[in-house]
Amino acid sequence: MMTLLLQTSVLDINYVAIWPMIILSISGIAVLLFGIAKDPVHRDMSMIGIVGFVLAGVATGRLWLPVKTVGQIRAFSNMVIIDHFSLYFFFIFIIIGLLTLLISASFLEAERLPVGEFYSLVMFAVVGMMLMAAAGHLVMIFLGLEIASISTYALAGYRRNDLRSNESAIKYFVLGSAATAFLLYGMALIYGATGSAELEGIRTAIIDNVNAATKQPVHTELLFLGAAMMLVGFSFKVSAVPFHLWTPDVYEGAPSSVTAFMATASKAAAFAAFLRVFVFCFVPGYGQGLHSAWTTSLETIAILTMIAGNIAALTQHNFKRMLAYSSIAHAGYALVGLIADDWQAVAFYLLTYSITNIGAFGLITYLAGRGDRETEIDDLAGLGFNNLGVSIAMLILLLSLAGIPLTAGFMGKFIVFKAAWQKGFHVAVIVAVVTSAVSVYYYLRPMVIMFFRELKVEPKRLPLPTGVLVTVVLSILGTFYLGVMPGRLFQAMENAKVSFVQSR
Amino acid sequence: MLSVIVFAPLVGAIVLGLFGRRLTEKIIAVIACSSVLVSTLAAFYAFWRLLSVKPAEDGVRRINETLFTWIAAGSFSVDFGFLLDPLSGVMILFVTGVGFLIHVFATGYMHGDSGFYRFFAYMNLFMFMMLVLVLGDNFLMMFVGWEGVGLCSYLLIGYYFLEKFAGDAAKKAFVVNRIGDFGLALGVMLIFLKFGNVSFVDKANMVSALSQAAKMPVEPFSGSILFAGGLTTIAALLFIGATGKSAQIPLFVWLPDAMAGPTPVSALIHAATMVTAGVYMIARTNAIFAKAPLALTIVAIVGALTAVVAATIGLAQWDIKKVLAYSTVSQLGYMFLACGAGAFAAGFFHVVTHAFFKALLFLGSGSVIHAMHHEQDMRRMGGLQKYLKTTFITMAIGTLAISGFPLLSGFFSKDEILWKVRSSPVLPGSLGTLLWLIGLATAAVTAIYMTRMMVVTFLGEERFRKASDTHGEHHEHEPHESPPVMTVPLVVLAFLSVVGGFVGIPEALAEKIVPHSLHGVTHSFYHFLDPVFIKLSTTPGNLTGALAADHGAELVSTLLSTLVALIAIGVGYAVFSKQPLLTMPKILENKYYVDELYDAVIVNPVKWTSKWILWKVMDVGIVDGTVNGLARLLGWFSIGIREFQVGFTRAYAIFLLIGALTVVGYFLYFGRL
Repeated sequence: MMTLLLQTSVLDINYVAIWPMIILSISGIAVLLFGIAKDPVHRDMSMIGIVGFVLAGVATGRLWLPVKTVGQIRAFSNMVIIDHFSLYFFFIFIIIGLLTLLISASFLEAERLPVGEFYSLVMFAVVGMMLMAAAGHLVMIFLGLEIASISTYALAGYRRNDLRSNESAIKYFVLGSAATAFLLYGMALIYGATGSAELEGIRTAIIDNVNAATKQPVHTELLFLGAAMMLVGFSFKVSAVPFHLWTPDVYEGAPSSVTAFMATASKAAAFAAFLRVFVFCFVPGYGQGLHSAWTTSLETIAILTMIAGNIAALTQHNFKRMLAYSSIAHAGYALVGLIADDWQAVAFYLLTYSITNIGAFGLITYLAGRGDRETEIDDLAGLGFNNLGVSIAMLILLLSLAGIPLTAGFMGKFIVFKAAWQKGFHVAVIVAVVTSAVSVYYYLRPMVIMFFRELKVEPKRLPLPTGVLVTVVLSILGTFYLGVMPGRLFQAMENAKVSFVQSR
Repeated sequence: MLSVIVFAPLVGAIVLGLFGRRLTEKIIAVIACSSVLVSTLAAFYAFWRLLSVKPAEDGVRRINETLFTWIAAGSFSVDFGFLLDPLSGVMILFVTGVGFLIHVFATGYMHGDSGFYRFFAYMNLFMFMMLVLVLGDNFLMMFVGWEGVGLCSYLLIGYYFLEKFAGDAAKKAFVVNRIGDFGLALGVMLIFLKFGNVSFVDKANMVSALSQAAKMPVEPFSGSILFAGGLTTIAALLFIGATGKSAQIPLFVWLPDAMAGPTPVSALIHAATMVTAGVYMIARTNAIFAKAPLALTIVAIVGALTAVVAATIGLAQWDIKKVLAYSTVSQLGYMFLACGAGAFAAGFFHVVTHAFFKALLFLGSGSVIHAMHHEQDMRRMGGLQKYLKTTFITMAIGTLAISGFPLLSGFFSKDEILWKVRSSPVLPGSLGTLLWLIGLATAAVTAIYMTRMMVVTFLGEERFRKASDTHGEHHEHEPHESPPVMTVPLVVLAFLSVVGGFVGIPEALAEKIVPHSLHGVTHSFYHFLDPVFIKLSTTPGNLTGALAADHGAELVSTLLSTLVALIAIGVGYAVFSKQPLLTMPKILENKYYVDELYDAVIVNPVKWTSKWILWKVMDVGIVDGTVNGLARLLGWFSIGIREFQVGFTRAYAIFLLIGALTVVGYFLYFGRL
């Protein structure tokens, strides 16, 4: 009944399809309102946030089966497409959003920063990301991107009194705006070339070589220019070389939990939109070689990204900066999956990477201590004697990032490399494997320092906050689950493949 | 059911390994023994079930149990499965049974040792691995068990790891075994190449490697066939594996040193079970060996040589365990001699009887060592029969059994081996006769050194009092008989050593001495195992096979070996009761200088090459140089990349623009084409 009442045929309004976004928006506003209260209780606000994410997760889950039967649900005149692709990314965003809340709680409390705004920004960002993943229209991608980006700019500068945090936010904002300009310009050109801003319309126009509005052949130069501009914009968002220069500075300066969020969820969202536009619209065999143009250029970008990211990480002294370069390198691996046209591989990779990384950053928020200051790798000296549990957890997560078998990181890389190898991107895969080997060095260095260096000063660390503990435990469980028994998830995604291809 | 047999000891090993440190000795003992007891009972039950199973087409009764597909890679698929057939059935009976007795004995022997839990965790783990080896239904499972028992053997030889000699012995055992394992691994790989699977039994859509081998023609007897990559090559490679695990020439040198481990270990691993794995493996793969007469001949010659060489060394040893160790090597030689002559059943029967009497002898020696406060030198013993009544009597039974005293178990199995060698259809020319003579001579030597051991240890004057003086300390207390947990297993094993032979009395002899109605029992061992072994074909040029049906000649041979045994026992007693400390030839006491020879020819050159060429030049110079150089290079790159990170937003914007222009330019260029 509910469904019927809420559906009107005129505007194709379908609230059921966007329940997850609605729930998160409402709870984001609720947290915000709560924050105005005179003496806001942290625990209550955390609870609202957690419940909001859990409900959004349930709503997403409840969409899974209907989508399985009909293939995809379109709403708002094809603005929103709910298929397994978008639902899968919803899950990633929701999990990461939830865990970000968990690792932030203690930090915000200790720093006496307002909690309400922080939580609601995270939730709004997640809503934006969801819109990006579920977008059926270029404008919707842009809208989602802006919602997500502006929230994250604000989050990056959340420690208002800290210069580093301010610097981070400004750099991110200025450069991010420039990149968004490229993206927007690209969208406009694509619209001009194909006569449609709907993804499906673009795809049809390119395949049939007919401009949807003018019924003339597609304008090739405009199309290529537009695609190139969008590629630049997305490459910036996923922090691929040479558009990565902002990443280390921004990641280092932002609060650690925000860095975690940016390095995982933001990146996954950018990849979701990237996949939607490039893999879905710019299909092989049509558009005068557009497909080979973007795959070859992205192959080069991926190779550069893997090399630069991994090698630059080798000589970092700051843990967050090292993980920033590591996240650049990981974007390179995911790009390898992207050029193979294999969205499942990319999506699975992003899940494994996000799950592992959020745990590692969770530990960093804890280890960084007061003022988020102790983030040098040398600060970890002797941690192995001092706090064995945390050290071992860190060891597992770093091993997963390095891609050691039995962990999620290995499985993710394996799937991506396999897909790319089968598609014939041999050079990229070889570079990927060699640079992964190089990466083991910098992932293991913190270990060496933890376990084989003398304790410098007896650190005055507080007990592990519950939120961080829960996050790390979930992250490690996820790491092993995805690393040892990825079968069920693969199966689910294999079924989902149908819906993505069908959407022609 | 088969899983219970295999996994019960593993549970014990895990519990003891994880929690043993906190448990009392009594609880550890109960856990260790009961896990093996469960396995033993399950084994007997499984065996009983096997008897009522309908034989398959090829006449073999089998019980299969597949747990899961272990490895599936392309066309290569291996199940994690167990196979119970007459061969593995007999094997698990004595492995679990004797294993249980030795576990019980060890609870007394190891009493008060600080590593009590560790010892039993290893022992249980060994039982698990041994049962995997025996029950595995393919070569890979067998290989896992094979390596697993090797690991446990290493751990237990080095059990007293604070002593340098124990560590050295463990290392030696491990390295020597590894040489053999290479042969085995290569053999298994070749089997996979040739047959496309490594299974022992046919499964759905798969004809096992062994069934395929059984249908192949016999390979010719010529030197070149050894390297042709066919069945002879496979058989030879497998045999290399067997020489390692079962201590045959040239890889036998580790077993005597392995006596550095606690005595129950010597009894269980280095006498009764693990070292017979080589014989089991050859019996298991008889389908391959039967088609490779050259390989069989090599096995027979190596077996015979090992038997005689080890027996003569055993004559001159003073350490009671060393005597038994060389005796084990020698007896294993007999088993291989039998297999080489094509008498797999006879060889396997000797495995069983040997397990009884050699476990008995080792445990007996353990009891002696226990009583003498860890003194192992027989020169400081003598006259012990007064103090260790049970030990003496049971060990005497074991000695008589191994010497081939009539109607004891060793008599039947050894006699069968000698006769089968004499009448072998596969050994070329009259080689069978020659090896038979060697076997006979070895039997004489065996009887002499065993009698010597008994006489020097238990009879004559009491030399241990003097000995304790030379130690500068006074053992005031007399040697004492061991507690019942140790003597009861001795008695049980002695009983088995006496009656164990009655299930396999050679046919010609049975005709004469056993009432007809009992022939079903006296021949049951051979009858039961018969379907497992494929028919042998006579090798061209063989001169001995014709004798096989001649019962008269067989009786003569039996008579001859009986006489030899009795005379040798008599001679041994006469000589050594007069002169217990008779000096033996130097060359025998020094084991033919084999260790020294290996050191000079193999070990030292390898060490030199490792140190000067592999380490100093290859590793430090080339490998480390490359790695370090590469690392330095990457470091420079890394700093180079960092230079881009100037920190100014405007600079980053410029780079963004340059990158964008490059991409756009590339796209437009591409669009033009």
